Amino acid sequence: MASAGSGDEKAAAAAMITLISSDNEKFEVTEATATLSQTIRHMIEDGCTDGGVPLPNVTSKILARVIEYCKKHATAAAGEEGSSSSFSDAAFLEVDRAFLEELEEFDDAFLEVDRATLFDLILAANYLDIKGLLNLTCQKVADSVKGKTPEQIREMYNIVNDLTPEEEAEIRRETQWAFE
Amino acid sequence: MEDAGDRLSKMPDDILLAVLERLDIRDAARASTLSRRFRRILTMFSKLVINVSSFEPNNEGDRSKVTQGDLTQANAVMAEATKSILSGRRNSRQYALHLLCLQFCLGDESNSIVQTVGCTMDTLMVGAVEFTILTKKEQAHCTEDDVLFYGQQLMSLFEVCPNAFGGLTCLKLENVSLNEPDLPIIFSVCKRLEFLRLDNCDMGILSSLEIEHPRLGELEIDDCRFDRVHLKWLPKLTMLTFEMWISQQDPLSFGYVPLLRSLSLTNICLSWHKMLKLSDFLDNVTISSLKLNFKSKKIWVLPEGPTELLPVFHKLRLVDLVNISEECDLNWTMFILQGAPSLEELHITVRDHFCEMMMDEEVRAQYAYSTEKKGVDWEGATSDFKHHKLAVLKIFGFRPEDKFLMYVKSVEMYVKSVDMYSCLWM
Repeated sequence: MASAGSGDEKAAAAAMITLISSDNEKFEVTEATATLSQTIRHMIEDGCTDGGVPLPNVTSKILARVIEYCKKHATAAAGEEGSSSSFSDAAFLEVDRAFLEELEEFDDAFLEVDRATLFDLILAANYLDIKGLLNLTCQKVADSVKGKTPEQIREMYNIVNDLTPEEEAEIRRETQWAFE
Repeated sequence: MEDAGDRLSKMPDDILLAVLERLDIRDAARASTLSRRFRRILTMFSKLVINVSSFEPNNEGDRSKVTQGDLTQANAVMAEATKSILSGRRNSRQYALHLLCLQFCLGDESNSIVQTVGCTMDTLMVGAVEFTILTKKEQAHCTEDDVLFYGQQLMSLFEVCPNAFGGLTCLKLENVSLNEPDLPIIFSVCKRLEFLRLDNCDMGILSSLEIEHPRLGELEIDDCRFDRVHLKWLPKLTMLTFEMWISQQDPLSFGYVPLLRSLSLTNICLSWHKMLKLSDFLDNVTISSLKLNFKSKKIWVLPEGPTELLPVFHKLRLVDLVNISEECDLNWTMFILQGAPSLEELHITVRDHFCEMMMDEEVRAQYAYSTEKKGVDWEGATSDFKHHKLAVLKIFGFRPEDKFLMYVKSVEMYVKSVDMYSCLWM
């Protein structure tokens, strides 16, 4: 890190932000990690991060996971720029591909959580406005529903069918084409 | 356990929709029967994507097993789905529809799809409307008669409901042979069009096409057997992709295209193809991004000196040279570097596409493949040449062989400021 970039970038890399979870646990993260969240980015821009950023909607358990995600993806973003070698080094790098593969593996492993955690992550990603994490988690839920019958989905997500038989028959009629 | 509750139903609307909008339309419709919470989801989606392919029999993903009858059936069900979803939208207008994206096949069944869309656009504000109109036979199986028949079907579809086409922002067509004035008619009817793709479309072999359109921003022309396409007046056009031409002259000419920035050309050079002289060819445009795909065949651009190229290359920032045959020398690419002082990135892909290559000499002769060598004669850059802008050189298909090492060395010799590059083994 020390040799990379201009003085400004160095200062930015060193700047730390304190995030405070709903159960009052404090997390120190770099600005680069924190600004994957658009919500926090705006707070930093407005200069209201002194004394820490309280996140009353996010528990320490979930915040720890979110930070894990942001750290990985922030390093990845930095790695993309930082991997440059000087032309005269004539080092041949196989950067992009390996790097994307690794990130994909990380994301897959990251999503190996129980349903409750997955929904908590979705809510946190939504509140903190972290697009990548929101896409990733919503896709995971969507994938779990793919090709399933309504009965299977109800069972999987404990959804109580509160439709009257008449209502259900009517919706079935309207969406007959989806069941053929 | 916390999971015991119904977390999915308790999600706020925007998150529930963010999840369900990712589903195929059939899965989404089935979800609407889950409970009251889900009942109206199809009237809440901000984007609706309805594809005929969702209604085809699966056949383990093997599209060649899908019969014409299967497709007619799928198209009819797709029409029914479109009708039922869009009538729901017309009745409940609480939620804005930003994108309506439909993919269907030409055929009698498609009339009702277009009519439904026309009706919807009369009553609802829809942000963007996109049609991908397929033919029931794939290109490889289409005869001359098929494409003529598909052409007639397409034009009668336009007559069924011109106002549906009048609201389109994106149109993709394939495998249609039309009469001489038909494409200009299509362009004038589709007045909101921002994206157009023509794949294996023509108005007779070696016909000419002139395009004028006030809004078109992106144009893709692939495997269309025009003699010449003239972009007469396209004030909003920024991106052009042009693939596979049969013309013996320059296949494209540029009229008023002041915003054109990105140009991608792909061709297999046969013995009768004219070599492109970029300084003439690009005379009327100022592009910043140029992609040339040689499909592992002969290089079909003529090397030129910097004085000729500078007027057309002076704003060029990215050049992507794709599928250069492994037999081909790379030194000729230096003429591009020398002619484009603003170039920041140069990407080169060296690859022999075996599935696309014909090695048999007799077959090659029969199909008029070039017998000349694939490379280009280039005398080399002047010794005092220095490039000041190039920052990235990427070589895909790089191998630690003399050809590549020498090439990298010579770029290094001419380029002052390259501070990042990567060579990738693929």
